Amino acid sequence: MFRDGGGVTGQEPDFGVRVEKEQVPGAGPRVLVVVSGDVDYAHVGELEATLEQEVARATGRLDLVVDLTAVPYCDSCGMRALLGASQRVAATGGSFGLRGVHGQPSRALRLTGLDRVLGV
Amino acid sequence: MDRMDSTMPAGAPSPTPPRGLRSLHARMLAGLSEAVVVTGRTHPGGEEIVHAANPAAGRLLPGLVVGVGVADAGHDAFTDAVVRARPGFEAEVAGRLLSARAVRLDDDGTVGAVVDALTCWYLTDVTEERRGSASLSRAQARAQFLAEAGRALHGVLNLERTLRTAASLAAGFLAPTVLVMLADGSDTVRWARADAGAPRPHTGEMARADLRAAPRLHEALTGRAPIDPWVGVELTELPVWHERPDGPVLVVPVPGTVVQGVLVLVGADPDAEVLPLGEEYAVRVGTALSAAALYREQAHLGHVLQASLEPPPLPADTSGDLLVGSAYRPARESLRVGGDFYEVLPRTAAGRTPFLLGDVCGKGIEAAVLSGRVRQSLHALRLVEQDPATLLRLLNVALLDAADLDAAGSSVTMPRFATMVLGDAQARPDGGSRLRLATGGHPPPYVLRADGRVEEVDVIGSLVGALRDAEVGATEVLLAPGDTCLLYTDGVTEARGGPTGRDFYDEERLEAALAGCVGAPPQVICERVLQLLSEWLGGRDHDDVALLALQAAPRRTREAP
Repeated sequence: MFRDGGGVTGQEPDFGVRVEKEQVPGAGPRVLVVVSGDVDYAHVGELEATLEQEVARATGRLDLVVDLTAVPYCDSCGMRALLGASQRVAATGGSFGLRGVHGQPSRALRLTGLDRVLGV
Repeated sequence: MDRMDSTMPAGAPSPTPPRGLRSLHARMLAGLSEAVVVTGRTHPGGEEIVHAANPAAGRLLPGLVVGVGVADAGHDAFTDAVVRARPGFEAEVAGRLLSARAVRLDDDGTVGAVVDALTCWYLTDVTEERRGSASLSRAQARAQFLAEAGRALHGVLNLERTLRTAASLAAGFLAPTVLVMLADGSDTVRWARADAGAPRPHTGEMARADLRAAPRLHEALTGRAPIDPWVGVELTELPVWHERPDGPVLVVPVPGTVVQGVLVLVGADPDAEVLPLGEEYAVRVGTALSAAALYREQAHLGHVLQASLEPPPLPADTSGDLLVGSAYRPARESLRVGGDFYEVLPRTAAGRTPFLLGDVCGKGIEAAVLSGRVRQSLHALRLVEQDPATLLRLLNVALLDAADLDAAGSSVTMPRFATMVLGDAQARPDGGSRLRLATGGHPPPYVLRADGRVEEVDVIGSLVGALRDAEVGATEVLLAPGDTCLLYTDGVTEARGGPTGRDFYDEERLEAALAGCVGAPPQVICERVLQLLSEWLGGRDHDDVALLALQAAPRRTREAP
């Protein structure tokens, strides 16, 4: 489905955000937010709401990972949502990370310098 | 009233049922709430006589006497039905609405020598039932009207069309002629008038001053006085009628937070309780008109902002040794005010021509505000600093400080940032141009060499305005005469289209497009890229697209080979 350079062929995947809890050996629980589809102006609200909810729900330190394996496209609104979440997670004393970044989001994160900030 | 002692015809000859049975029949019929009347002629062509009637018949058809002519009771509708041998009827009799059906009683021999066949009439009082169902169906019609009006008015979001729809929907239901007038704070009052049966409503505008002819309406429209429901006399003078309104005029205020209006119902049935329905309808119209007015205001705001964001025209003459070209295509949706911006400033005293191309995150008013802040900050900073990289670092700090001020007092704020390439161009003694470039979070520019080679400038930096420890990318590019540097926003490379409609335009296609532009002036290059991009998009929507091309003027005279 995906080819290098971020191009995508085939049908647009439906947008979705799923939250999972992971148990990391030797560490505490970790929240995994799995995103699929384009993270753009039309859909970013859903991602923002989910991330905000997880931050609000955390009682203390929050460790959060966003999985972008199924995300072919992330625009500046999407990056803003990720950056905002990472700053709020940092405020809890926890850690924020991205996983499965490839294609256009990978290039966009590199060009904006967010790859080093967001822990790709 | 108990005039009847038998179901048998009065005076009917034998065979006579046993006495017990006769009284049993009589008692059975006496208990019926339905009226039962038996009629028949004494001889062919003779008068219709009442042969039998139960007590209920006496109540519903007072004056009916067994053994006497039907017509003598004076109930014309009943008499008519009997004489014409109708199968039934529904008519008002003695102030009640009666529903009747007739059953022919075949002469089976038991009746004996009755000359003509008998007819048994069963009559029911349906007055209450019909009145109930009439008011029920009226209530249903009203509920349906309001529901349909709600649907038709919902989401129109166009003021003129909402006005027209509001008038059309009500014409013929609330009143034969319906006029809707709307005042929105301007000096103009808009109106739409619909006449039942006319193919389309009429619309128009009038100056508020023209309402002098109807002072009470004017006051109601300006919200100064509640509307006197019967101000019809004043209204006839308004220039909104095709013919002078005929019949009673009912005026219903249209409530709204954003607009004031009135619904004028001409010729409404005064008995039909139009006012309460009109008021409910007016609430729906008011909601729709307010939504449309708000939407118009917002769209107008969007257009104003968009216009303020439109890149200023490039300087007509940048000196002759630097040629510039640009192209800009905002996203189509009117409320999605874009965030792309670029500019080329007049050459400074130091002989440098500053330029800038960038993109702010987000859409709409927030993006417009941020884009304005970026440009204003840069204009101010340029007064004290000219080095592009230092400028960008200062801008980053300025935007972060401004964001901190914005955030003071609010616990949760989203980061706001911009990406951009800024720089300046200085003519070189050999005829080329030296570009100083600084970049933050932006796709690196391309250089199209005069010989057709396309190079990506190796410079990246981090987002501007979001990170305290931002890294500013800085580099210099030397343009030989005829070389072009192209700055672009990610709307170009992230435009989706092609055969699948989902493929990005991508850097490779942009490079190929550029390579095909060798020898072209910078404005032509920008337009060519935009044209190829349009073909790729194939009519699909896209994000903002901005292109800025800087070209070192080609040598005018070439040495002969």
